[in-house]
Amino acid sequence: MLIKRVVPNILVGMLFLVLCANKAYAQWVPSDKMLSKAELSVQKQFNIDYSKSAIDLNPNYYELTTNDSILGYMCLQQAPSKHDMFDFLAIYSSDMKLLKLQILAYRENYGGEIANKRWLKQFLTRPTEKVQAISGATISVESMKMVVSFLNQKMKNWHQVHHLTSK
Amino acid sequence: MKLKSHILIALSFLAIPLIQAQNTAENILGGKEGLIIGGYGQIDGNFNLDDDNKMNSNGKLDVHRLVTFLGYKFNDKATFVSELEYEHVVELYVEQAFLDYKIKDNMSLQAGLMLIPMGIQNLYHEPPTFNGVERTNVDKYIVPTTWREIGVGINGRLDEQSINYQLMMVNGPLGYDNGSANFSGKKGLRGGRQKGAEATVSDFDFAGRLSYFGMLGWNFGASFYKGNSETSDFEADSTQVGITMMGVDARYNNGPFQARGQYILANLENTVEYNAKTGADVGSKLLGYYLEAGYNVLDGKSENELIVFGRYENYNTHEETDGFDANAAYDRTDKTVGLTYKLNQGAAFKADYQLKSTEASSEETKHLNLGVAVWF
Repeated sequence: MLIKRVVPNILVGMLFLVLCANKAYAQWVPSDKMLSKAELSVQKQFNIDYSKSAIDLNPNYYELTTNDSILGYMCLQQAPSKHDMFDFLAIYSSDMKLLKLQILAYRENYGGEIANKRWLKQFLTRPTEKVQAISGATISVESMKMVVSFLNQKMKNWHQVHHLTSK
Repeated sequence: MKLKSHILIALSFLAIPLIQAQNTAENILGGKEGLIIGGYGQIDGNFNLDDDNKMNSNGKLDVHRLVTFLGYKFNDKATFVSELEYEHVVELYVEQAFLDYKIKDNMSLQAGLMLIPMGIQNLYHEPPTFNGVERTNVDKYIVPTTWREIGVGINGRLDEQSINYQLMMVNGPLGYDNGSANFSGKKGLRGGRQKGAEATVSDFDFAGRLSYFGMLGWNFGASFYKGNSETSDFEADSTQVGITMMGVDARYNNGPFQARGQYILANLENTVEYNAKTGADVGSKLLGYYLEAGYNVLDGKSENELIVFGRYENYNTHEETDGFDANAAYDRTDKTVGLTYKLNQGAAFKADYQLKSTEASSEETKHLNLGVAVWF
């Protein structure tokens, strides 16, 4: 009787927890259209055929290989604007140097100026905190700066653990 | 008990596909969905000073604006945006209320009560985004901020060309309301704003703006407005004026240095007939401009910003008059120096000192303004 009563309740509880966890950790999945837009940029960047496989850090971060040697990495990442999220692409070299940033989708009416290529190029050559402000896009600029430096750090740490220490 | 548990389990399994479906939909669409809450506010203290910089009349402490932003994102294509504004605590307005429909990635169709895209501050009016406790007077007497009317328009961005664009068809300001003139020599078109409150329509007007952000550190804008004012007397042309307003503006940022400037020109037609009919003294040309430069003295030392700024501003609602002499008292100059202490991009303390004068006299009046500015 105890088993019949308690077990189903525990099962229900577990199911509920699983569902909650599933909801809370629901991973952002870029649309196919966005993914192919990103891959086109990667193709242009390296100008060579490659294959990609997601790394264990995040299913939207990929290692790019060609003939068994590592070409680089591509990361699809979301960041907050004032009231919404925007999506961007970051391409890294095999030694985790940031090679390119590209805004893939910007949804709000304000702040879209961060898609400016010349502005994004600053991230490749100067420390993130030195990246210039844009009038009319302050919130998205600050968000981009924060998320790019977070991503840089995460990728560098991952690289350290997976490649540099094993050699 | 047993039955209850089983029903619960069965229901849980039923819920799995539902919840997963919801997640999948969210994932495919990307971005946040649902209710969006925000707002902004400015609480001001305005004091008039004498030659010895002592208060010479009653000051004013005012919750000038408190605006609650409520939006709802139905999906990645459709978003509703609204702003409810309390002005001076007791006046309630709707500042924006429109449906935004994304036709394609970087282009939206918008319909409802929208901001007229003229100049910098009518669009970017959240208090922490500008220096000075009060909005610039060019954006009060020439551009009647917060200028918003009901209409339909498109709003988009060209990433390759680094251009933002806006084009809309809206109702115009109401110049003549059952025998009385809403426009004036002193305040230009300001009294005619209909703000979406049972607005009278006799003509549709057009407004647009282009801004270019392709040069690092710079943001350039060009705005236009063309149309006729509205009238309650549908048959009488003498109760309407033709409005052509044009503006250019620029904003610049480089490390600790920031600068902005704006120039707005409005040509009004038919003012002779309008003034004759209503007894008003509306000018035929309105002109205003300002130049402002600021420096963040905490740059590199702190997360906070302390911006020291100076601004020169001239606005003349009688730049030209048709059929009568211009009133020199409407040619006004404000010189402002001040401080903006930003604790965050959305929260600031402000203080400024203003010298105001008109062409009608050599006297300058002195003003001290203190304010709290928030945006979230």
